[in-house]
Formats: sequence, C-alpha cells, structure tokens
Amino acid sequence: MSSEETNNNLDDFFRSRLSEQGDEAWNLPSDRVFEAAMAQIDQRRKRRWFFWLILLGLSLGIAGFVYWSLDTIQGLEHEVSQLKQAQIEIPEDALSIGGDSPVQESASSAMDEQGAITSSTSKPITKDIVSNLDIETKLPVYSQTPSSTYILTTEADRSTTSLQEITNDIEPAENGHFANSIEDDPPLKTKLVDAIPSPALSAKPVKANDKVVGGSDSSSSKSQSRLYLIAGSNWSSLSMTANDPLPENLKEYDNWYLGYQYGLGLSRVKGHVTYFAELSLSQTVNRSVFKDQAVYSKQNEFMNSNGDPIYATDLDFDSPVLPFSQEVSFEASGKNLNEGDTMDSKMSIENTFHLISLDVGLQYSIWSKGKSRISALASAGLNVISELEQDVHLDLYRSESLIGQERSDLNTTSLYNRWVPSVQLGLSYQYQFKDFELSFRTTYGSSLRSIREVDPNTQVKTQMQLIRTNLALAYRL
Amino acid sequence: MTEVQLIKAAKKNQRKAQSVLYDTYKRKWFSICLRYLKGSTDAEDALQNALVKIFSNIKTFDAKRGSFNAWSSRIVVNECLMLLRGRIHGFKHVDIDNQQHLEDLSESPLDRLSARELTALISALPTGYRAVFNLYVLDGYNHREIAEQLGITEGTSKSQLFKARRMLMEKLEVLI
Repeated sequence: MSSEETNNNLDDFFRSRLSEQGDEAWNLPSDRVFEAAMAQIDQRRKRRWFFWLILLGLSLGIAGFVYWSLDTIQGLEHEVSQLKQAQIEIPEDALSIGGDSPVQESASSAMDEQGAITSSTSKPITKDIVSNLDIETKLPVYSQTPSSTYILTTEADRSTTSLQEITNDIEPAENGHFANSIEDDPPLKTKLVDAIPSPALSAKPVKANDKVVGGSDSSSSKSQSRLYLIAGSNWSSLSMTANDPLPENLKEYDNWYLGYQYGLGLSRVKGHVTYFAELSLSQTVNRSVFKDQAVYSKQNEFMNSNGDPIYATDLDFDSPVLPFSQEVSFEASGKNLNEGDTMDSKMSIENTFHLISLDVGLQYSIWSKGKSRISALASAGLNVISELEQDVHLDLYRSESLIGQERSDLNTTSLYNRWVPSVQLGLSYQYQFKDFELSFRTTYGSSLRSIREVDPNTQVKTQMQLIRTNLALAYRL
Repeated sequence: MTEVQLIKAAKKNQRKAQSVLYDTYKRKWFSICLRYLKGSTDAEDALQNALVKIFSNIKTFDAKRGSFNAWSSRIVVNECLMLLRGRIHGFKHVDIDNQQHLEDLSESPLDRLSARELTALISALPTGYRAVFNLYVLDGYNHREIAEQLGITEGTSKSQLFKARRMLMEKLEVLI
C-alpha cells in the first residue's frame, strides 16, 4: 500500500467516524455557554451605544472647538479691521500751507459700520461723519500714498487721544468744504500735530488700495489658533499587577523600550492657557522573557519518514500582553533525553503595539521671556490598539546546550480595537517665530485600563506607562 | 418552523429562534471545538465566542451563498484558531482531560474507536499538527488557505500535516 493510499485511508477513517455525532453527552456543551454568549451580546450592544455616545461627544467637542477657533479668527480679523485700520484720504492740496483748498476726506466705499475707511470716493469731511467713525483713536499715523493722498491710520495701544476730540473743533461743512482749512485753524492744527508722535510722521508711501494695518505686530493679539505637526519618541513600559504574586519565571517585562509617535493637532492660545486636541499614531514596544522548565515525555515522541525520533510539544507561557502556547519540535536523536528529564525553556516575546490616539488637554504658561515660554500641560486621551505584532523566540536547553528552538511572528488580533483611556502630565518649551512656533514637549502618561484582558480568576492586569518626547511645529492660523 | 424561518427570526434578534438554532447545531459546533482545542473548558470558551459572532453577524448570512451549517462552522473554526494563536491557559496548564481520554483509548480496538476517542486522539496532537490536520482533513481547507489562516508557508503546512498523520498512525498502532 502506497503512502498516499495510507494517508487517504487514514483521512477517510477520521472523516467517517467523526461525522457520526451520536447522542452521548461528551460533545454537548454546558448550559451556561448559550446564556453567557447571549449576555455578552447584550453587553456589546450597550457598549456600542456607549462607544457611539463617546464618539459623538468627542466629535461635537472637536467641531465646537474648530468652530470656536474659526469664529474667533474671524472676529479677530474683524477687530483688526475696525480698531487698527482707519484710512482717511486727505488731498495733498488740502494740507498745503496757505492753500485755500478744502480739506476733503476720502470716504471708503468699504467703510463699515464701525467707521473703518479706505480710499475710494471723496466726500467732504463733516463733523457728523467724523463723529460716526466711533474710533477710540488710538494713535493716528500719517502715511503718504504715491498718489499724494495722506492716509490717516489709527493704531491701538499707543494713544488714547480720540479723533472725535480733535474734530470737535471742526466746523460743519458748507457745500462740501470746511469753513476753515487746517492752516486757518491753528487750534486744530496744533491738536493734530500734538496727537501724532514724531516717529509716526515719517510719511510712508503706500498704494491707494493697500490694506494698511496699524500696529501689525500680531503678537499684540491675545488669542490665537494654531495647527501643528508633532513627531517624537515614545519610551514605554508595561507593568503587571495581580491579586496573587506574579510568576517568578516572568522576567524583564517592565523595562522601558523605545518607539515613535507622529500626528497633528489644533491648539488655541488664550492668555496663559493653551487648549489643544491632537490625533496621533504611535508605536510602542515591549519585550518580556519567560523562563520555565519542561519535562521530557516519550508520549510526545514520534518517528519521521526517515525513522528518526522527533519530539514535539506545546509549552505554555505568559507575557504582559497575553498568555499563550508555543509549539516546539526537534530531532530527539543524539540528545540523550530520557523520560522525566527536565529541559530549560526560555521564551522571549517582543510585542509591538500600534496605537491611534486622540488627546485633548491644556497647557498653562508658567514662565516666559521674550519669544520663549515654558508651560505645564495635562491631557486625557483615548487610545485604540490598531495592531499588535508578536515576535516570539523559544529556546529549549538541556544542561545549558541548545536542543530545540522555534521562531514565529504573530499578529495577535484578539486585542485589536481595544480602547484604552490614558492621562498625561508634562512640560513644554515653546519658541515663537513670526508665524510659526516650535515647541519641545515631554510628558509622562499612564493607561487607565488594562492593556490585556483581565483574567477574572487571577485579576492579572497590565498598565502601559509612556514617556513621550516630541517636537511640534505649529503654524499660526 | 423551518431553518429559513428560524434564521429570519434570529436576524430580528428573537431569543427563542436563536435558542432553537443553537440547540440544533450545538453538538456539531462543540465537536469542532473539541477537535481543535485541548480540554472542554477551552472548547466551551471558543464556542461562546463563536456564538457571539454567529448571532451578532447573522444579518450578514446569505443563504444563496451557502448553507448556514457551512457558514456557522467556518466561524467556529476561526474562533478555535484565534484561541490557538494566543489563548489564556493560566500560568501553569495541566491537561488532565486529555490524559484521561488517552487512558480510555488504550483498551479500544481500532474498529470500535468512537468519535469521542478519535477526537481525543486529535486533540492530543501538538497545536500546529492539530490545527493543520483538522483544517485539511476534516474541514476541507487546502494548504494555501491553511497557510493564510495560520500565517505559515504552504511547505510548513504540508510538513505539519505529514507529521500529524504519522503521529496519529503511531498512536493508532499502539492502540490496536
């Protein structure tokens, strides 16, 4: 009989015999299985609702944050256009010494309700128009355009002199002309000159339609939004706890190992406080070693096609991520192994986690000097395990000589999509450029839920601790 | 109530229909688990996980693409493989059940070996051999599919099958 026929016979034998289920009790599961499964389904439904609720809350929070940021940016731009820019065109001849020309103001077609003025059509300046400007002036700055018009801009935070106060002395216009020219009105001239600080008198030529922003130093703006990119390293460690002492043969699981992180975020600076939300991808690594002994049993021996004895067995191990079995087989001939002999086993497992993290938090500026700032920060996050790779090395020794080994790469899917909340505390150093900010951040964090599924009997749990060091480049929106 | 009606009702989350379906298939599903896993505790855990998957995803079952038996059995096999890849056995695992089965077998002639005894023989194989033998011989997977399922090469699958058959033959020879 050929080996193929033997195989077919064996296969058919098992198929035919195992197709008979019989009516004995050995292949009947206990009653609790169905009930437990149904309870699990119900729990999952509840959890799903909870998950969607959290996701909805987070989405609304982020959407609200973005809306608030954009709204504030718009408000800021509006404010800048109101308070920092007022352009009044005055025909050159109106300022000419001794000239009789009427002073005209070039009122802007884009003049908004708060009185921002840009040059366009000319209108005679009347007391009413100036009154309606409602400009808490702030410091007028003269600029001269190439077309020989003068632009009067106001600049916040430099003066409290009110333009209205100056123009109170201007007489109502008749037929589009002031009753008196500036030259003819020494008090007005004096007030204008007094109100204008000498550095501002340096006439700066601008184009007629240029947007002139007084005090364009945006650092005066107290509230800013930023989009930033982060990249850096993760030092991670998994610490295990249990009701009972952990197995003594589990070694080196709580060391710190290097990984990486990158992502993007949105932040909002308001005074000393910065609020931020960020999405990042990270990889963390953990290694553990499990040392044990196995007893040689002839029962696990079989002959290969050459008639050589092969030893094959499963060995059970633990790791911070999950306990599992690993098969090992080796040629038993020449190893001088007898029934009951002990073999030393060493299992090294490298767990590589891939996490997707969503963090929200705030930082508070505790020190600042010039363009530098140091802040303390705190954040909370949700991390989902998107992938877990396990690189397993199993070595079997007899009297310190290697007798068998196995190598395997696994993708352990049982922890996929497991949500792990976390909290972080840290310090951040920021350096401000014109439109960019560079920050160096270091945080310490811990997971609030066990990475591995908690064994109900032993209560073995694994917490992840992370030290993150990141560089962030932020662009001011 | 026909099976089609039962499945339709189970899709609407009717607990009674789910219970009847379970009663119909529980022996078959549990036999699969016992073939793949050592001990009835692991097998029950796998079955429980499989039931959660089956009744959570029953809406996706399409009778035009195959029978409920084949669809559900595949889920059970997948759950067993999940547990084989990384299963909590506790810090020290002693498989008393299997030792008991083997002792029972020692007095059985080949032609009188029951399904239970043969299942015990298979479950006593090392994990890799057991998985490949079950998938190839009893559940109809080919070596390419097994390689994908277990994350091994086709060559490894073939050699594991060879070793599994050899080991079973030896155990059977000892018994007769």
